[in-house]
Amino acid sequence: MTLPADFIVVSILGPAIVMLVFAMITLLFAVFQVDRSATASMALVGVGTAAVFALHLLMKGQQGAAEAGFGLRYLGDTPATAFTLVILLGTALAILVSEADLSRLGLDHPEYYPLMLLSATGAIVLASAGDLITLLLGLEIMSLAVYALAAWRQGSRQSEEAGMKYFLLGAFASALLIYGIALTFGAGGRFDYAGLAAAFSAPGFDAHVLALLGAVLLLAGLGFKVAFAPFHQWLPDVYTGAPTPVTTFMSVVVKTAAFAALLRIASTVFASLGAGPLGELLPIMLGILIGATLIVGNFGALLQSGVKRMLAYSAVAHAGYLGLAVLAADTVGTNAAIFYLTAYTLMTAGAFAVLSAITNADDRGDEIERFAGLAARRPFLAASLAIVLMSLAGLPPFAGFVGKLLVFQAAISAGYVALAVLGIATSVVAVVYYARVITYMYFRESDQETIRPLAPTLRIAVVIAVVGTIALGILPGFWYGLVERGQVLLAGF
Amino acid sequence: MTQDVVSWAALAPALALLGALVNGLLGARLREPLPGIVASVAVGAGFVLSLVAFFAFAGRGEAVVVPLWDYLAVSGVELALGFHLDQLSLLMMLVITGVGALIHVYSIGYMHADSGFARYFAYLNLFVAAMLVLVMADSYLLMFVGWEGVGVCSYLLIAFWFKQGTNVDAARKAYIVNRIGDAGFLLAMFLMFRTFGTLDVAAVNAAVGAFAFGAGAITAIGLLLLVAATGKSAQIPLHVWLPDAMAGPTPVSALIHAATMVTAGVYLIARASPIFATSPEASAAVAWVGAATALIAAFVAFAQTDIKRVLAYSTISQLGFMFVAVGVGAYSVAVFHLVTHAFFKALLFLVAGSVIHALGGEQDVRRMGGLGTRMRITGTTALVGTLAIAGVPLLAGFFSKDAILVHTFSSTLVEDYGAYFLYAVLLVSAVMTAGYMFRWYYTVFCGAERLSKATGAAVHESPRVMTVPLVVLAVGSVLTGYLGLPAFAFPNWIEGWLAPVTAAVTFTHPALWIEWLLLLVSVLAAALGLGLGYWAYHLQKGAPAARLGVGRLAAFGRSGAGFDALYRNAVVGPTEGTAGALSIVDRDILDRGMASGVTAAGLLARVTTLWQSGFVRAYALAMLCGVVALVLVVVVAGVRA
Amino acid sequence: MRAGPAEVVPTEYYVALSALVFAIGAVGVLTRRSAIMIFLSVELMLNAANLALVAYARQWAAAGTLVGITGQTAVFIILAVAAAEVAVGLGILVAIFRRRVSTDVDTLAEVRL
Repeated sequence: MTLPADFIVVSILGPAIVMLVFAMITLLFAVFQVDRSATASMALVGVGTAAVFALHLLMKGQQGAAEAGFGLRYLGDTPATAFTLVILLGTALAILVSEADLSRLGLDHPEYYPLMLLSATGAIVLASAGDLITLLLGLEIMSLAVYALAAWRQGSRQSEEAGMKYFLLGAFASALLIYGIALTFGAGGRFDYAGLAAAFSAPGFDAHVLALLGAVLLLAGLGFKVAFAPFHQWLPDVYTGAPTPVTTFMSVVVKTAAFAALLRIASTVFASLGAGPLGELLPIMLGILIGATLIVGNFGALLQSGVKRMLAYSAVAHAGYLGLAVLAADTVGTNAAIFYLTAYTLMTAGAFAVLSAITNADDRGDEIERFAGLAARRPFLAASLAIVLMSLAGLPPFAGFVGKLLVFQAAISAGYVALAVLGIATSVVAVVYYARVITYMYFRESDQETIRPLAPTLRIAVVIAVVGTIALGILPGFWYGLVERGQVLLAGF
Repeated sequence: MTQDVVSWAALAPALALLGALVNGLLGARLREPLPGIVASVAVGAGFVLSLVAFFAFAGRGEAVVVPLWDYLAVSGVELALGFHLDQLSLLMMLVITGVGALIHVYSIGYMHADSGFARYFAYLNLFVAAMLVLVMADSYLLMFVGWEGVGVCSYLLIAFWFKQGTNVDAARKAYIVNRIGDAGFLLAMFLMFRTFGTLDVAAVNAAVGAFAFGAGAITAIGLLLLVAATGKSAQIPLHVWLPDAMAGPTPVSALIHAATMVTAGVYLIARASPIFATSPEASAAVAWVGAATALIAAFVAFAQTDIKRVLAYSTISQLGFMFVAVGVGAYSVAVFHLVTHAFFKALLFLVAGSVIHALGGEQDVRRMGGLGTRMRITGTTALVGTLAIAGVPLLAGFFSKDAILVHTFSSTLVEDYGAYFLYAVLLVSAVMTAGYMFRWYYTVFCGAERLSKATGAAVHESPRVMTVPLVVLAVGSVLTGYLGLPAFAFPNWIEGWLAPVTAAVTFTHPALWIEWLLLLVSVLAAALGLGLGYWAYHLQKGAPAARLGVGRLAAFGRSGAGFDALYRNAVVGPTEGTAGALSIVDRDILDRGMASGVTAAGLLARVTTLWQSGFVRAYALAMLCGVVALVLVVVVAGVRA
Repeated sequence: MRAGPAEVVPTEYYVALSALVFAIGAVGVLTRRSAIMIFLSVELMLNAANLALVAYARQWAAAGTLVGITGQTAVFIILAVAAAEVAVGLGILVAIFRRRVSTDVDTLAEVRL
């Protein structure tokens, strides 16, 4: 660490601080009733500025930047900055989708963008946390804003229900997580991952059961956010009930941040427990959760007749695939997860963006019949949706294929062959429900009215998503190489 | 490297892709037949490039590698993409672009006045690009890209006439069955990466040498590759999609479902020949899958009354022959049969297309007959194709099929796994091949006309744009056989050409008189099949409809009815049962959102969503149950420890 | 492990109590139909965690770990988190209550399957 300490502090906190500042600015905009699209533009500027900071950090590839106080840590290493970039990408896409949709949906209350930026700030903190308390703060900052956003459509029973369900179960999961933090602290006497990992693997450590109890509660709390079965049940209901722009935000940003946190804990705290007695328990339990998630997500999606709800179940399924990378819990797994989440952000945001162009103003009307003959009516939208769905299904040469390749490879090289086989088998099922939508768009006659014209910001979002999906699939080495320079970091300190 | 003429052939897929882009983006503005010409020129230019490269390559040993770009570096292993041009890939490219170009030209006539004219050629060009990538790939990773690409194009083309109800279902069924094979490919790829640390085809083939004969990991990889090949090449039990795939336009059936894509499985095994040559278990599995498929599909072909479905089962059966060939280690022979089959089967399909075209869409052979005199060129070329596939001496199919039979007879690789039984099964299948092809030819082109008046009056020979490709393919169906004359007495070019790129497997060399005897047996098999067909369909008297239906299969056995019943119960029953079950899966799972829930997948899906009650407290209960289970596991384990 | 005087209540007692309170809270979440009561039950769970944290913090401080005091700091952070959660939750609840005039969470079961 050759840089002066002060400089590191400012630079690694940069993205989060910029987001916070811009959240305040947009809040002021809201107070003074500034034009909505100006607020959206300002939010985008904020995301862009934060991205510049994060990119700067990533390029420097700092091997162990951290800020400490009260024994707490905020990390600025390569995985943290890479995850920050993915979160910012997801936020930008969500803002673009929102801008196009909010006024049409009658949802453009002034607090929308400030809340979204605040939530993204929390996500960045969550992804950069180096200890359990920072993790908790990030998680809550992110979640509280999203609870409100999920219930954004006042007067819609579905949206209110989504917000309330998400909040009640989220608070419950937070309580589990916090109790897990308490138990983990009781076993290790620290909050920072590195200190805990050191304490757990120190000779003479004898509180394995207590530490494991803390670990399973942490797993349950974070498992809720990433939607591992059986903690996934809120997800289909909330994704369906929330306004589509909010669903977009949740499905990409919240998922990325939660996985970033889970990966870090898995490769430090869990890994150090794995070496001790009863250490084999954690991977087995995690493996069972992931297997259940793969099955529930993929088979649940088969049944859905609504495209939005199908995408919600597919989000559960993808949590399972990402879980394979968590299970590997090493450098390969982390890099695989970063790549997968980048691809996932692009393709999911793309799918929801197209969806929001098709559904009614009240978010209803996502039935698959509505997509019949879309290729003839709106070739651009149909081709875009087809591409992101093929990518979600894991077909080459799109980004989703490379992501799946990487996580399966990570799981197999870490020795979890059976789960990888299950993942490959369930991805055969996945093709069925993704292909169904494509079939409707291309091979069904349309009896639907023509769709309204596409808002320019939505078009931008779709183009970014599709171009990104293709580029990451054809030239994955560029982004992966950038991420991979970080090397072994997670367990570092 | 770039100065090398051979490496120019790497442009062939790019040309086809360009053609697809032009037709896909501008096709709506191009007037017929311009999209067809663009597409044909794109593929034709690829053929010229391949031809030049082929001759420039002759006499060389080293493969020409054309690097594309670095793809990924995982765990310190560079995965680079590139094209690998060697004897095998150049031969495949010639077939794909050569036969492909002819079929493109033919399609200009066949698809005349179709509303999706440009779209059709865009898909077809895209297919050629993907297929070329598949055979030119220097790594299994890139091969998988092509492998998936041809699957998608096949899906698009089967569903091309999507307004007819079942076509889309057929396409989806084809695609999903293929995905099962693809899962095998993926797993094989991961296992290769784990075992060899690379996905480069040449490196993998070189690394296999370090493993003991019959090593477990090699056998596992071989079996997984077999799963992949079984899906793509429509072998039992994953064959069910190919007959339904006939819903696509007939030139598509000729190109994709006869000449090229379905042979990808054979290509894959030939490419990975060192793996199979090291594992007799995997090889035997390949051979037996092939033999079973050859026999059963030949049986089923007799029962078909659709002019294209007969050919579809025939294709499955012939692919079974190729599987036996690669299974017994005769890789160059398999590729030889692949090449000859590409010509005569493409010819037969285009003939069928010409007939369908002339009859205004009629596909039932029971309503054809006597067309040979009214469609002279089609009829004559059909005869050439029929005799070629039947194995009549001096035509292409004879030499390649005889080579498969001889090599099966004298195999050492699968000696312990019933090589002589394989030979017997293939011999029976060969007799049946001649029989059902005679039936096909006779019912369509000979005998009395059974056309309805309206269609009968309109029968006409197809335009030149369609008949010229037929003639070219017919010539090819004769001449390609001379690439691989029986090696014991004649010069055999193809064996020497492919020797550097396929694993060397030893065969016993029987005495010369046995070789001649085997040759004679092959001749007799063809003669027997054709003779029985002649007897059953021409000499036997009776009402034409009865003679042409399923029931006349009885003529094949001395105890006619028993054989017929056996065939119907043992073969058609299960086959159609499987197809029926699959279509139930299709209908219920795919279309009705699994309303019936009878299938395993349906039940699983229902169970997974059953507890999605909508009640917050139920969700909290599920979460708490999960947590309690996790905690209990830890506590119990902690107490016991 | 414990270095304190003999009359000090052992940490296990606190932890056992906190586990009991946590369980009561969890059961409350499952059995209560009113959203308000569910909030309160979650609060109970959070306070159980706080109790465990201070108990452990005291134990680690007694064991001589410098960062033992962090455990007590964490309690304040968790209190703040709990307060923020309640604020947002009540906000959503009020929004719903205005229309439904009911805080029964079992009426929130429209979106399912």
